[in-house]
Amino acid sequence: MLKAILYKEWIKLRWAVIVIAGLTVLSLAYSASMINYYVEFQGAFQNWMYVIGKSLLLKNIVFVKVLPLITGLVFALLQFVPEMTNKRMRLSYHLPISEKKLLLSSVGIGYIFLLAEIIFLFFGLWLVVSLTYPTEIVSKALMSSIPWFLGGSAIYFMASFIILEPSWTYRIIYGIMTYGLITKFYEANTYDQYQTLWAYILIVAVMPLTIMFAGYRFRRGSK
Amino acid sequence: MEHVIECRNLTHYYGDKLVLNDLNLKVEKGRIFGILGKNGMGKTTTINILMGFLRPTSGQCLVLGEESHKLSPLTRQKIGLLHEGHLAYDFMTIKQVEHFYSRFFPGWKAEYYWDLMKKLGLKHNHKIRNMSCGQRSQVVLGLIFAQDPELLILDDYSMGLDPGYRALFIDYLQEYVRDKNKTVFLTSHIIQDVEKVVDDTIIMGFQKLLLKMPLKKLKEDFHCFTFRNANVVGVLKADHVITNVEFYNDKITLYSFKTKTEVLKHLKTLGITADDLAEVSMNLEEAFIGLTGKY
Repeated sequence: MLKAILYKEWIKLRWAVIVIAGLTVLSLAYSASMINYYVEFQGAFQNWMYVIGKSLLLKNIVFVKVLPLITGLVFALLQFVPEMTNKRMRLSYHLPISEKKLLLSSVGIGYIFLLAEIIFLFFGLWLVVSLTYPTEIVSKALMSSIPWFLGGSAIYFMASFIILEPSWTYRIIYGIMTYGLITKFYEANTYDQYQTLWAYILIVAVMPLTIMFAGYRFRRGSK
Repeated sequence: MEHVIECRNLTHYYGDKLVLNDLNLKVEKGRIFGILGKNGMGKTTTINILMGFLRPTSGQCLVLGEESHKLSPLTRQKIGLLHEGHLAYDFMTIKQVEHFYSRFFPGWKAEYYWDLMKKLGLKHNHKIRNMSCGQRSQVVLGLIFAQDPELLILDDYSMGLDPGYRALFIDYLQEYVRDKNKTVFLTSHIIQDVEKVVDDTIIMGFQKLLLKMPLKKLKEDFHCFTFRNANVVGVLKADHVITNVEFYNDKITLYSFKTKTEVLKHLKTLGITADDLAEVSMNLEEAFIGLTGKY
């Protein structure tokens, strides 16, 4: 049954997975060219000053910042909008599988694809930055990017939850709350703002459970 | 007798609005039931409760012995649902949807599905979203047949179908359930079609069940009479003999479960002259209107 759910989610996500992978390559190439541009045209000393002093590197990898966010949102939309259109979720809820298993496996499968894209991006980023900068800078850049990757995970879970919620009033309320929460993941503009990383991880870890609540409300016929 | 569906004192409110009031209903195994009701009579609410997508405010609804809003996966395996509008995973193709569903049902009978698809004449990679409503209805019906369920709940199966596809749907359904001891619970707004296929009729009135009886018995026992008498227009009312009465100028149409002799006798006791009382034959649609009224 899990294989069948994987099959369904793959049908919905396959094109997005390929397109996002392509975008990841393009955004990494852009980041590499930007790093190269600053090194080539501004000189090593000035570049070093900007990289260390003004966290310029984080600006050069801006696509890496938004890509997990876009991926999380696109995956949630592609997976759950077709399910909620014309209340198609009723088909899934009638499948001979427990609701808990159905919801968690659907979200879990989507998240595995998202995680694969994130890991691809993370290693790509490591490769691009380590070609130019020493280990200390690479480590700072990677650590600083972790909240962005967590932000992508958070938007995926929250968007899935909002789409699966049957009431538009609740959707708007959750949407506002999500906006407030997600912006927290993207506040940092300098290095070393990742000390509260554990709090971000904890928040993201409990998010899949919200899906259960939306599923319960749909099943009850809540409006 | 074994009951496939059993509703006990089913009551449901939408906010303050009472939709179902103390509904009691038993559906026996191996028969085809047609549930009829005018708009707003709680038909959809009843179906939603039966399908497990609405929890009743009070009362109990058992489907195959389990509460409808918490059916176990094993019981869901035995129930084939056709949702209003022939709902399907329209992002899948004919082949993909069969592959997907077949993994959930151990007794999957793919031949039923592929027989129907062969008649449809579409390629296996044809997306469901690019099909007409009639074609989609065949896909959905094929999936339900392949599932081989004990109970089929078909909600407004005729919605969006032209006469050809409606006839096709009924033909396949009749052929499928024949001699298989399946129970079918269906709703439709096309009563002429329902009449062709059902064994029993369930008629919903305002917040309650008006009638549940075999179609044959309803046709035999429910009568329509007309007579002309300008004096009783607006005076004659429904009572223990007269189920419903309608007036058009001086023409009175009354509906009753009593015979012509009994109705005449009753009218006489009410002091009403009805020398020209004549029985008019009815089909199910006319009987339905007779029971529920035109308005």
